[in-house]
Amino acid sequence: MNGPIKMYQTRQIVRYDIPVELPKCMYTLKNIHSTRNGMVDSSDHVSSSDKKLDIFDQNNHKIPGMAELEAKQEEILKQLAELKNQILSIKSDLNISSVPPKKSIISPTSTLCTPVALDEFPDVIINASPMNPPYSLELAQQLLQGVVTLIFSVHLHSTVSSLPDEAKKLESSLVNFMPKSKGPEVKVRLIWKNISSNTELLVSHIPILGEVNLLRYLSRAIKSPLSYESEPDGTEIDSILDICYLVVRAKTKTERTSLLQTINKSLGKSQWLLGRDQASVADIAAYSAIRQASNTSEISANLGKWFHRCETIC
Amino acid sequence: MVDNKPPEGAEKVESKKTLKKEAKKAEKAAKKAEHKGTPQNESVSEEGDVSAGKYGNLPLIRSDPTAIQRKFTYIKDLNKSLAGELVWVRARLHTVRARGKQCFIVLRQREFTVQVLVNVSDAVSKSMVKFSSNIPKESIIDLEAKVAEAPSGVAGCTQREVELVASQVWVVSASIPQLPLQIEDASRPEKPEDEEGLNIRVNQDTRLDNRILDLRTPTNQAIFRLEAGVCRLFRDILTKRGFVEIHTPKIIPAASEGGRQCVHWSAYLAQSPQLYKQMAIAADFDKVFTVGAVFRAEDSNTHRHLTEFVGLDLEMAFQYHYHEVMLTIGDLFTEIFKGLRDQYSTEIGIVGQQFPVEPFTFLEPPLVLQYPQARKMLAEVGVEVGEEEDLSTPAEKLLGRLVKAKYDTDFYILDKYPLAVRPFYTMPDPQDPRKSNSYDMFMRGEEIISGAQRIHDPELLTERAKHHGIDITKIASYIDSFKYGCPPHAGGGIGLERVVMLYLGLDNIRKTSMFPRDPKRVTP
Repeated sequence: MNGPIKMYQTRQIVRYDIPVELPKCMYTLKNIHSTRNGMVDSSDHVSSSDKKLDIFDQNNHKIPGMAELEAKQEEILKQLAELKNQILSIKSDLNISSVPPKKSIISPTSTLCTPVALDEFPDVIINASPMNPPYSLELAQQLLQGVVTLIFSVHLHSTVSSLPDEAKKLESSLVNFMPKSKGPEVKVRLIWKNISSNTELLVSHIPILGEVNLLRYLSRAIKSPLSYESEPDGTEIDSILDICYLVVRAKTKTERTSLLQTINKSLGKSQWLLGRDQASVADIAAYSAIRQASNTSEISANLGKWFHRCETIC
Repeated sequence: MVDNKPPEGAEKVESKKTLKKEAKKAEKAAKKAEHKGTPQNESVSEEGDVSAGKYGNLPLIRSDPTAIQRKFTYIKDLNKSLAGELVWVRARLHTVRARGKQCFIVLRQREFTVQVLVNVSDAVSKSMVKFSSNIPKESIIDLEAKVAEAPSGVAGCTQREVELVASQVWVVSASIPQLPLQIEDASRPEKPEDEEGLNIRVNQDTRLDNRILDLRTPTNQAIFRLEAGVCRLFRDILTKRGFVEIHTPKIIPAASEGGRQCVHWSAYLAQSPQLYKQMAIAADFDKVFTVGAVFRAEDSNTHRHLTEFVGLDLEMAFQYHYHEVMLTIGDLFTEIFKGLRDQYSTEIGIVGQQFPVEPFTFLEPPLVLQYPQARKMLAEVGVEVGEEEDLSTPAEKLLGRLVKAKYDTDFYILDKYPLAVRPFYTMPDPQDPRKSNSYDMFMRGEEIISGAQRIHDPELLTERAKHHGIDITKIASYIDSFKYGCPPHAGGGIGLERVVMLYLGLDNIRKTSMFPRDPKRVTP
């Protein structure tokens, strides 16, 4: 609002100044529109005063209530700032207290949340399109070893008549995987199926769509070095995951290049994405997305080196 | 008709009429005789008929060496490239419709149809059009016609691009005019949601009573071609894997397998070739299969039981674990399904037009579930099945739906059935005495094969038979077969009709048996 605007006078439609004969057959109520009867004007209430009511009668004139209103606004802003400070202090308090438990989560000694979690998925099904093989599984299998052993069995659905070589390679690598250390086993059935590029994960009746969401599920369901929710850069990982999803879906090369640049920026000069010294879910997803969507010539030299590092994991 | 009777005024009116009738009859008889005498010139023509000798009834084809040999074109080959050419077609008259000086005929050859026009023109007389429009449906006719492109496309025919303009019409074999069922009704698609359309159906019993007509529908043609395909694939795949086809007797001295009731003549009809398969194994054939009639006298009038059906049975010796056999059977099915998917897509499509169904899905390698897993899946949706209890038919169907929802496969194997629900010759599990080395396979939630490792040790077999309360003397010959040493073996039997029915998602097994036999039907 830029303050009062000059308005034209209109004919009065409702007359409120004539005395109204109220019916007496019903009980009376307190007039709720009148000024708060008997209530003290507290500062946190925007109360309606008589003065404000005649705002429409004023033309071309400095409104008397304005100063009051402004003062009130100032007051509210001040209160908000105070509240913000309070929250910040609470946040810093919490940060200090939450560091020790976080360490125990990341430590490699931790295994599954509870043994119950294992029973919860006796038969995990992943439906994947052979045109978009979920390479991330390969890396996830490697990185999760020691925590859980993902045991894959692969089926070919009748909607697929023959399997491309890339998918076959992934299949044999997943099936022939030999864990270095034994952990609890999770059986996963990978079904090659003629579906869209979205990989489907079926744990219960409702599928989880998309490869990155599959990884999100894995990192949440199994407490492992891949869990990222409680990390300080959790949101950044999430946004990288979203970019990976878009990379696979990108229709044009330019669209893809700009997305890849974002990933490149996140990598910077460090070993892994987001400046980490260990591979995270983001690396896994990005590796898979790049392998699916583009050839290695499309990516920058820096990203190329990182890509090779990813390949050496598995 | 030319009235060539002399007028006789002295006659009464009635007698005149009768005379007229007789005269006409005589005339007709004469013409008939004429037909037979001079087959190529016969015609029901009036004088000055421009198309005399271009239509009529052909004499009975008795393989006369002097008869004209014509080259016929198949309806399925009629297309644009033949436009303008004169072709001969022999086909069935599907429908005929006359409209003034035109007559529309639809010719049918198996599932292919084409529209024919008989127009009054310089070369085609009115009487020829009349003759054409009076040929009864389902007659076989020879037709000479010019292929013409149909610019707007012919609706309702498989050959949409072209139509035929007839120049000669000959009836080869006439049908009687009254048909017990209309082919069109019998081949009308079943769309439950379409309430607007014609809802005339042919009753299953009417179909079976007039099976020859019913089998002419495109759907039935496709079903039985596909059935032949299943049988051929079964043979080919197993032969390739080193199986030997054997033939077992169907008349046997005593009731076999599981102590079921038998049709009792002076001998019994074989309920299963199982004993003979096992004897072939004991005789070192290693891997055998057989295709043949199997008889069941169960008094069950269900949609999936027949008293006589074609059994596809196999038996195989294995080294250490019966899963070698189970997975061989599983792979056999996968191969059959793949063969059907790749080689019979047209047939599947035709059947799907009349009986819409979701395409059959399967996994390769097939999904194998353990019995406890199945029980758990059922328990999750509130159906409790005891540890040593068999699955009821509704439970089987429910499980089929659950598996389909989870794994998206219509075919799966259920392994490790409880011993209590299997026949006495089933090998018990070495680790858990309550389980057995047996398996069932399911298609669309219905059991199609039930198999197991058989006991090949006479002592254990005797013990198990006693445990089941079976009279040892009656099965002595069965037990004796294993006395001279027998390799461990397993196998199973499949009902051909049931596999076809479930593959196509049909609702009744009588649809996939050409001449079905059930407790209420022994004809045709």
